[in-house]
Amino acid sequence: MGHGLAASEFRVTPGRSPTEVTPLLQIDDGRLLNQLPVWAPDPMIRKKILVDNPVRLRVQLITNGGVTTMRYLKPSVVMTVASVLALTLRLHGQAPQQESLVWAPVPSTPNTWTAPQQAPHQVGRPARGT
Amino acid sequence: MVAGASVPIVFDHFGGAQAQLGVEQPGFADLIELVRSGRAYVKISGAYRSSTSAPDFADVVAARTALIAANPDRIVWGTDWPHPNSA
Repeated sequence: MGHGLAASEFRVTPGRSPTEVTPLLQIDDGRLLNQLPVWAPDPMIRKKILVDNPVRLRVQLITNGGVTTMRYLKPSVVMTVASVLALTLRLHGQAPQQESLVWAPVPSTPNTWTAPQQAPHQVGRPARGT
Repeated sequence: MVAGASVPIVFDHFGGAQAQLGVEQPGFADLIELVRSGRAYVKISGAYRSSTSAPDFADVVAARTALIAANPDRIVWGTDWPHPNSA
């Protein structure tokens, strides 16, 4: 599709209306994302795939695209840069929200809770305070 | 055509490679070379379009690791949400 077919060339499946939309496939995105470490075990390479490469690609589009391209790309560039920025902030743990609680021990009662001495290694989070 | 393009080229869905045909399938070596030389990006998205082994798609591992190993600076992630069905 998408090759400039004339209206008469569009085929309609018998028994279906031309406006009928095929139901979306039911894919578990979270489970799919969990496969990324299988494909890319190195956390620094995962950071490239998830953050650095998309950012570079978008910057390239802005600087190479020229005025005409920019007119159409602008909203999507802004959205993508914003979402990549949000992802970057999350990966670096510098989002304005509270610290991640994934590794924190669950207190049995409020009075016996003690802070962990050291957080376990967290993927994609560089050492801070440097 | 791809090599001479003045804008970045991104192959969606893994370049359309089919997992069951393996890394020897026609065109895959060219895709690897474009990625290795930095002239094209590949989006590792829509695993279910290249694989029949949902939900973990174990059969795509070989080709994906080959692409990533070729040049990790030219791979981008995507899920292909909301997974339109063109069948």
